[in-house]
Amino acid sequence: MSSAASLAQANTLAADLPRLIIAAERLAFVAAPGLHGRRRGGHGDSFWQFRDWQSGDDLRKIDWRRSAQGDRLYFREREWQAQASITLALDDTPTLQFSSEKSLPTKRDRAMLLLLALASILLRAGERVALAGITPPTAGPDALQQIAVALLVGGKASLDPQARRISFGDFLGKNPQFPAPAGGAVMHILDPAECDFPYQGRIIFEGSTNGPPLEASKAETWASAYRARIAAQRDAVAKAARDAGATPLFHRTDHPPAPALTALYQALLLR
Amino acid sequence: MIFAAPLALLGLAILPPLFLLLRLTPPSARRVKFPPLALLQNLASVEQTPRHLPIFLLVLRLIAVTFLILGFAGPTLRPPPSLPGSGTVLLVIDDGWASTQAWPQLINTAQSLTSAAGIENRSIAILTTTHDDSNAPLRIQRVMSAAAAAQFLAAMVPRPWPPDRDAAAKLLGATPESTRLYLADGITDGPGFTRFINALRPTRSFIPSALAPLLGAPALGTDGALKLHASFPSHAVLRAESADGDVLATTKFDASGDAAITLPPMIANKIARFTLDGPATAGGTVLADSTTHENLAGLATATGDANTPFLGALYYLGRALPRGTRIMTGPVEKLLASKPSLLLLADTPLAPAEATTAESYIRDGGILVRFAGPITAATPDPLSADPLMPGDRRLGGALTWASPEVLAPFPEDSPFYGLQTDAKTTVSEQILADPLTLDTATVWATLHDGTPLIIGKAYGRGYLVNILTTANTDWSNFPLAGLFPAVLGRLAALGQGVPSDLNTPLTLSSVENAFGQLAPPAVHASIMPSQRIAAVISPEHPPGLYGNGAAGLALNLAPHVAPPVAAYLPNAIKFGKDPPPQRLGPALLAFAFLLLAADLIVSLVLRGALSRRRFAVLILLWLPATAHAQAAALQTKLGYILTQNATVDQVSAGGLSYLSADVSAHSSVQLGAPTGLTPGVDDLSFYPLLYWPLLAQAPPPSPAACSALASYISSGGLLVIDTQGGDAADGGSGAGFAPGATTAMTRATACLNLPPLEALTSSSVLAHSFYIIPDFPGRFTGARILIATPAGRDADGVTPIIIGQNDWAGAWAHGANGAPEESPLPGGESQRIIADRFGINLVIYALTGSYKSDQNSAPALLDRLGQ
Repeated sequence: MSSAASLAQANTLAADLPRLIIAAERLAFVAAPGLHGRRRGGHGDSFWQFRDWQSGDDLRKIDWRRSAQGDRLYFREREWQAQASITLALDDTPTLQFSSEKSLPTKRDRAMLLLLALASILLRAGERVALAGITPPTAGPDALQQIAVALLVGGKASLDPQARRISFGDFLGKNPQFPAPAGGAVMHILDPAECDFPYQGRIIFEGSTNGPPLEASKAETWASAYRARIAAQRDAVAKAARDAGATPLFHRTDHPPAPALTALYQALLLR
Repeated sequence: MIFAAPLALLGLAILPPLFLLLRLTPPSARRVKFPPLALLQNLASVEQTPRHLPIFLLVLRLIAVTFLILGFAGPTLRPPPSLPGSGTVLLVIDDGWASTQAWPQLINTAQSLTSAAGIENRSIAILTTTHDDSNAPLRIQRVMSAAAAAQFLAAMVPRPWPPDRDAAAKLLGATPESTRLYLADGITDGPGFTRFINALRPTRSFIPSALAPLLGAPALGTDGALKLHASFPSHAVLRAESADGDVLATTKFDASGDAAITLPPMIANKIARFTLDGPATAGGTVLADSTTHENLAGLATATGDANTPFLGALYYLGRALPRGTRIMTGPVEKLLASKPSLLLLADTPLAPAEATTAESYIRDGGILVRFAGPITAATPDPLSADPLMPGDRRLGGALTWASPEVLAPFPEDSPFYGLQTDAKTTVSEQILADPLTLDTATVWATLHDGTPLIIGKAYGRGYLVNILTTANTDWSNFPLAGLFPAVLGRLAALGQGVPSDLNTPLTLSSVENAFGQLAPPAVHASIMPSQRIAAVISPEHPPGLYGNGAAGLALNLAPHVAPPVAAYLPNAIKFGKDPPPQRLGPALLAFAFLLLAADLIVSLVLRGALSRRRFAVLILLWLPATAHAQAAALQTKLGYILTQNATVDQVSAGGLSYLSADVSAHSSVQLGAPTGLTPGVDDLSFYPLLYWPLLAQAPPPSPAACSALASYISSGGLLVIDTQGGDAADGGSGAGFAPGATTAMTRATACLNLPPLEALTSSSVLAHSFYIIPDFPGRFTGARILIATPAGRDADGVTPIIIGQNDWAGAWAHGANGAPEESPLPGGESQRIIADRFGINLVIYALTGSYKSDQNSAPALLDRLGQ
């Protein structure tokens, strides 16, 4: 890809970014309202309460301005936030760039939306979120922005092998497999046309890669065989996920994304 | 049926192979992107047979191709006969007055010849033998295609003058020989015709089946009958019509082509034209003018020897009146009642009652000429142009020194100016006008010594003339002079307004076209009355009316064209009555393309390129919206609510029509005709103003009507409720006209959710929006009118409702004849003017809202500026 073309693509992506983030945050609010801090003092970024300084406390955390008002030394206690590193992975294959109808989003759009919405929820809950192989675990108010930018532009970072991993993708390849650390989830996203095969008449099917197209003289006669095959593929993905200790989840792009996000969040809470 | 290109039919041979080919070709595939392509591998073995083209599509395509081939072959129904010769066809067409009679048949024949030439691929030249309106020189139209010639023929009109044979003969002599087809009018109209035919040498001639009639000018018989002669009166009925088109009389022609119409003079003078039954043509039409009209003169005298030859006054008068004048005699009151154009009273005193009648007769346009005599000299009465003195003056008798006086030349402002007096005409006895009160302007003729002899004066539209001597030879030899009939002729002409000057040109005021209809002239033309006899009808002197009113002259075809004689044209063919040939090719091609378009849509749908939804949208775009709503939305118009009462609905419609026209005339708003509406059934939202005549006995509106009206007033409409009168207890001039109005109003508006109301005052915008008006009357006035309080008005400050009982529609309504239908109470027409102005204000208010509300503060602002 030429540099001019990639620049153009980056511009398009950057134009999409605010919209994407807003959509993700809105979805996050819809799906998981009221996710806040743990209401306990501890390591965290946000102020929790003042208490008297005790011996052994870090001197840097004494609030000198508050303490100067009286005789006591006030210690700034921060909210305790149980931080876990969570890796979000987008299985970005060419087949993701597909939607069967103009009114539907592509599988990639939906996967990114779910990924960012989940990241938003997790970040607000104080978790550290990484993009697999792209960003290191990050937290804080700007983290969502960073993740979104990295998702569009790309990047390189080492993988935290211990982090729980949530994979998004259509997993249409043969013998799907997922990496080991348990407690994650696998979000299998498909287009409704890929599930239902609504085609009729004489149709030439073209793949996402440059392989030879397939011609069906009467596409409707292929439907039942295809449906059996796609069901087998879904089973294979689910089995592979379970084998890796992850919760298998499924989503169609014609379904609303909020229930899928809730299911993802629940899957993470259960572990 | 014949085919213009029969070889194209060979194309039908491709249909069977096409059938096989189409049947073998499957519908083209649709390409679809499908990521899980790998999962589809190896499924192809499940299904082997290719999908066939659906059979209906196959049939559709075959029909379309068949129609295409047939269309290109150019089939023609009722083919025209083939033409003689080869090469360019010259059509020579007589389009003079005589062609009008059979003009449609002539054009039909020409069109059929044209299409024959088109089928034989021959070009056409056209020569019309008559000059056009602008009198341009004749020319042969440039050679054109059959289609262009057909258009040229369709636009041709006959002219109301004869063809120019000489010019046509010259042109034809200079034109190379070709196939010449002559569409003749069938008559020879002068010596030029033989030369013309010799130059033309037509290949084929066509003539009408009946020759054009020519109606001659009417002549007034001595018996008062109008006699007309017509050549070739194929339709043997003659009609006399008034200027309004009323048929005053019909009569039949006898075998020699003569007809006579006898009518009472009053009616005969209304005749504006004579026409022949049948196709209207200029030749079959004679326009009447004042020379056609008969004069009725009334004669009366109080002397005993009225009709005695050489003695009686009436003996002289009857002979001196212009020819064609019809003479009545009898008692004065009877003569006055029949209103002759000229009334001559010889020595007849008038009783006071008769004098009054006579005066009104003069004012209505009559001419009263009073001769003096012994009786009137003894008993003078006041009806004279100037006060007269009793008694008489005698000249040249045995006891006087003076000799009889001759007439002096007529003064310039006299109606007799220009007539020659002679020395032999003498007056020996006369009565005298009072010299003390004499108005010199009334003196039309004097004796040589300056004594007035004839005094006359205009009264209203008529004249009163006193000739101060006798109408017989008792007092003068004037009745014996040649001057006497000339003087009476001038007096008779006073009533007709005939110009005294024959050398003043009269301008063409209405031109008669070849179909005998009058139209405003497109070109300037004029004629001297003196030239009229010799005038020849031509573009320079088109037939029609010259000059205005009663002074006008009518120039008719007869006798100003050459008398028509049937032409000798060997082997001439009569104009066919067949309808023109009909070409089916274009229709077949159009249908084939429609089928192909349908095939395209079906194919797209089959390929899936056109989703069902898009297809539905496409179809919906084709369906026209409901005409009513569309019309209402495109043109602003007022609405009124239909009641069960036809009379009230009619008044509403009439009132709003008048108002719409009034508003359109006075402002830039252009309103359409108002529409009667039933709320709840019709869509009210297109009407800015809705007029609701609420009858006292009307039932409350249905729930559907209620909700429609409520939504109308809440969404910006202006509802005007008018009970058209009020209870007896209500104020205003309409009180008592609609007992029960208040109850009906409460009942009808209960469901409307009305805003709070207040009385309408002259400080409202409604009193300023177009006209500044003090109150708001309709047919009635004075009753309280309610509008919404400012809080209840919409965002623009426009009240959604006006409730009144002034019967506005009644004041606005005008009948079909333009006269108002009802009389406003109590103010009459001045009240109607205010009512009309209120109507305009109302419409402008409904359309522009509070646009003029600043007018309310204008007095205060002006007041402040003044300080």
